Amino acid sequence: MSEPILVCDKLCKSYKKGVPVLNNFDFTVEPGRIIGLLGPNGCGKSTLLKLIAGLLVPDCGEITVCGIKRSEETNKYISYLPERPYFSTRMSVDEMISFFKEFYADFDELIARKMLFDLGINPKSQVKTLSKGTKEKVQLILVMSRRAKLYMLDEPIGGVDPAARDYILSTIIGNYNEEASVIITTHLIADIEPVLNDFAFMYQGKIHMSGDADETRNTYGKSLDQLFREVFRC
Amino acid sequence: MLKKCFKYDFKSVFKIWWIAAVTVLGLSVPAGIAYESLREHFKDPARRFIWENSAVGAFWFSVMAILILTSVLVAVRFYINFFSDEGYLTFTLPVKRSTLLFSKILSGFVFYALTALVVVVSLAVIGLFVPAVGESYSCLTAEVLCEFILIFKEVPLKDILWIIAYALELVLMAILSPLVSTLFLYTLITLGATIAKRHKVAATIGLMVGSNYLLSALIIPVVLAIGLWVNATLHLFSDKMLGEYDWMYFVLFAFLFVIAVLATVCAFLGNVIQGCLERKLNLP
Repeated sequence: MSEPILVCDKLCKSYKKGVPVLNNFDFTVEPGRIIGLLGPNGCGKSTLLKLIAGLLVPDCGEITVCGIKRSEETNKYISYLPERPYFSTRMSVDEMISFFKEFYADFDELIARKMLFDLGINPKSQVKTLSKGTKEKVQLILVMSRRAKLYMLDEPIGGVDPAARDYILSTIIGNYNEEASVIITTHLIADIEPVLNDFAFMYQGKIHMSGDADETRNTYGKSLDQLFREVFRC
Repeated sequence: MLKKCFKYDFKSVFKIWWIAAVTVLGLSVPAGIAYESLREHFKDPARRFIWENSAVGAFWFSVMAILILTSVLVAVRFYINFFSDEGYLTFTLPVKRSTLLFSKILSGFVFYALTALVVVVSLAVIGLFVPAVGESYSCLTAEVLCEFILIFKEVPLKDILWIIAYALELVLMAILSPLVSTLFLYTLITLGATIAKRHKVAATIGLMVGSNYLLSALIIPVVLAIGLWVNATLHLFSDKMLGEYDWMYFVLFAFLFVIAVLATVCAFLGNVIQGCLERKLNLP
């Protein structure tokens, strides 16, 4: 069996003392899987992704990416899309492409330019002149144009129109290779459900339920969206 | 990676900074001309006074502006790139945090040095126009420089060594002073952004104001105490124990002490920022 892409071992993280966001959290991602990390607000999804991306330091536990303990070195293998626009507004899309090309050896400029063309985005445009949805599309295009081992997409389709969602989802499926894995967090479960191989329901900093998407649908006779609504009913 | 990081840091600040630099250099020409040529042009002293002061005033205003602008641009670049949403991109690059920080320190230092250079060049431009006192040539010509070199030729070798030693110390201090300023600014921004959860800019400004008051309160008594101590030493030992070169040693070691203090402060502030970036990063 091949080496897991990601191993989170007994991770703990709390922003305030005594209020843990993640509590002895164990999570493993095998290569070639698209995983939906789903859960109600505040369950720790974004915190987990930030910890893996190195934006936060865990209180305890260990993160391993491609067999290497989390460090700047592991950023080479991770392509992370945060839930907010993070590009410099003073740059143009072209300049952002150059930036990615310079810092990431695995960035494929041709793929990025093709996707920009498909979505009708002018590479000469300044980032500050783009709408919120277009900024998100550009970010996703750049993130998915890398040949990374692990893609982490935090709410990738939250701000885009339904027509573009299909293109984005097909981009996610089409662009990752069999050795890579994708973690997607979203509230729009029905939209991403068709592309998921695995899912994990998170609740109060722990995995509440997880498994193979198809098997779970067959076992319960419900879609993941319906199951989510049932499990997390207020 | 440092080269790449520095390139983007430099470009980002240079986009706006060059306008101020060109303005200062451009205004130095009318300021220089104002001293001499306008005197011929306007016979009425009142009108000449207004013209002279407008040109010279505009130049000095631009000098003040570029000094403030450089600090603001360097600080804004540091804050936005590290502690705003852009931090999500910066800290997920495959670059060590120490490299990211060093690039920022380097670009801050380079811009302070470039600003100083622009001011010196603009003063030299004014010097080209302003006549030397009681002479027909301007303050900055080959003749003046030749005279300067002639003075040096008459200095004994031992004194030249002293001059070199002092010059080296001054160069070191000239490097360390802007470095301390840059690091101090970065430290306050880092602490403000680390401590505050929401109003990070307000927290940073509060820290800047507070630290200014605190440093003034600390530095003034220390400087006064040193002044009194030096004065007392001068009276106690004058003409008895210290010869001509003993004083030179005294000043040399005093400068070395200042350099050591500045270097220690630099290392300390660098470590504080690095520690916050490694362990206490608090992005929005």
